[in-house]
Amino acid sequence: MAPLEPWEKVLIDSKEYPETTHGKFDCESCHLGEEAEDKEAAHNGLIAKPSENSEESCGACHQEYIVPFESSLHSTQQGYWTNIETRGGHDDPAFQQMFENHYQEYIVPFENSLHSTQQGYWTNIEARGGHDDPALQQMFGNHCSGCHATCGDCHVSQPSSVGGGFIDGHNFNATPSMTRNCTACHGSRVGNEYLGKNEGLMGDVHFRIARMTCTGCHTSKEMHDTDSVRPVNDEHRYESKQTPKCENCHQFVTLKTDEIVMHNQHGNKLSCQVCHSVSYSSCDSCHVKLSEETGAPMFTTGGTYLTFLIGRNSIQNSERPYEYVPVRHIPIDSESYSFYGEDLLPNFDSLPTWAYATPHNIQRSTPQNESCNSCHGNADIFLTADKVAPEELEANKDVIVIKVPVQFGLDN
Amino acid sequence: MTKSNKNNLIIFLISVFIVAVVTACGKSSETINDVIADNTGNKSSISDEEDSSEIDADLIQDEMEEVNTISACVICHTDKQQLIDTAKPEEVKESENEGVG
Repeated sequence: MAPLEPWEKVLIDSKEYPETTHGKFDCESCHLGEEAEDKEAAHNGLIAKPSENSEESCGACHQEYIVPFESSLHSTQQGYWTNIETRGGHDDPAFQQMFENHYQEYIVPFENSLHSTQQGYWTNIEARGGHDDPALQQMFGNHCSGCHATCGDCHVSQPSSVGGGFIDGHNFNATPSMTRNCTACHGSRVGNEYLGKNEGLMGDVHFRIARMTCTGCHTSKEMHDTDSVRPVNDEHRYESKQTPKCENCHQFVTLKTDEIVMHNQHGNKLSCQVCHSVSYSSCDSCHVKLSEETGAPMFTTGGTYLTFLIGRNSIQNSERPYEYVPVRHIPIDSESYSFYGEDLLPNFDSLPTWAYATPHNIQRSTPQNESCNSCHGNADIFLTADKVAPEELEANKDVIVIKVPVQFGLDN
Repeated sequence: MTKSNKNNLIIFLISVFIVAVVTACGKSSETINDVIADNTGNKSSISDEEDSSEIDADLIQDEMEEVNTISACVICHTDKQQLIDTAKPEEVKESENEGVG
């Protein structure tokens, strides 16, 4: 999405905003600064994004959202840390030295500007007695934390990752914009899939036909975690209770009473997306570093391509009992963070690189559900060992399909 | 309760009501007088040495300053041209990223 002009980012709606509840507060009550006509003087001590300290700003009135939100995945980004810690977790005196060298330059401002994410990580690591890794913290702060969501990033402005700026003249929108908030961060995979931006592929039927936006499934309660369906300090979006769930609306599917024979036949063996998703993005080899010229964080990705592959469910639990699920290649490799140190991911093989996926491109009819044998016996759509890079075979041993479901009509 | 006691009670309640009404009116009058005294500077608590016109000017000046303070932020941030004129020059940096993020 095109970035906003500098004036657009801070232009207040003079007609609507003063009439709103938030518009009746003094600007200084949230933003501080000084009362002056001169810009420099007025911006002295200014807090541009008060919701980065949501407890003090938004929490004064919205405690019922702030308290649970601060431990939600959008706030803590714990899902990333869960995977990084699982693959990494290596104590090294060299990291400690690096931490000491770069503490003032990188870590202090990071901690100050993103208090929830930083503290959440330290709390979890220390509580588990796990490993400190200053190098990984530095990497995360430079490259990943930009998607840390504050109240303002959803309800007032575009996220910082796309340049920020008011969406609606400083008006507070109870429902975030799908394209300027949600897919501003969730754009390259979910956004493209859902909106039909992948070449040759239609958008999700929930958007195309039902005209649903993200909040049609991903409710306020889920985003703020006010319904307590997820544990405090949730580890990963696929770890705890499945929310949202297709069955929340499509209730008859799991009751084995609907007219679709395949629903009754497969039960919980397949996630819904196995039959109803189409090709989605996979990526290879993201490497992060700081630019030699500017010192700014940057990344290089090995490649992005469309795939549809069914793998075994490596995170089977009561909420996700499926045997088979779509899997997406994620762009991690053992050298992804090598700019920040050697061997930062010694447990690289502990997590698959073909990860459990829930593509947002649902269709009623798909190539694989045309008939039983569109899937059964069709090795092309299953993640078999020959499709996995040799250096990743160990990491994906719980995902690789060893024996493709047998084709019907053949003598077994 | 006997008839005479009942009548006495009624009389007593009416008396209380009358006293309450008279007292409230008196207080309202006092309140209004206080307000008038505040505005004209004739209240007894005000020093005789103070000039009432200066007090009025101070009150008005405080109110004006308060209005100006509140609107300073909004005056600037609702003026598109002023935002353009005072914007910090933006340095457009070419992204060094390679591939889809």
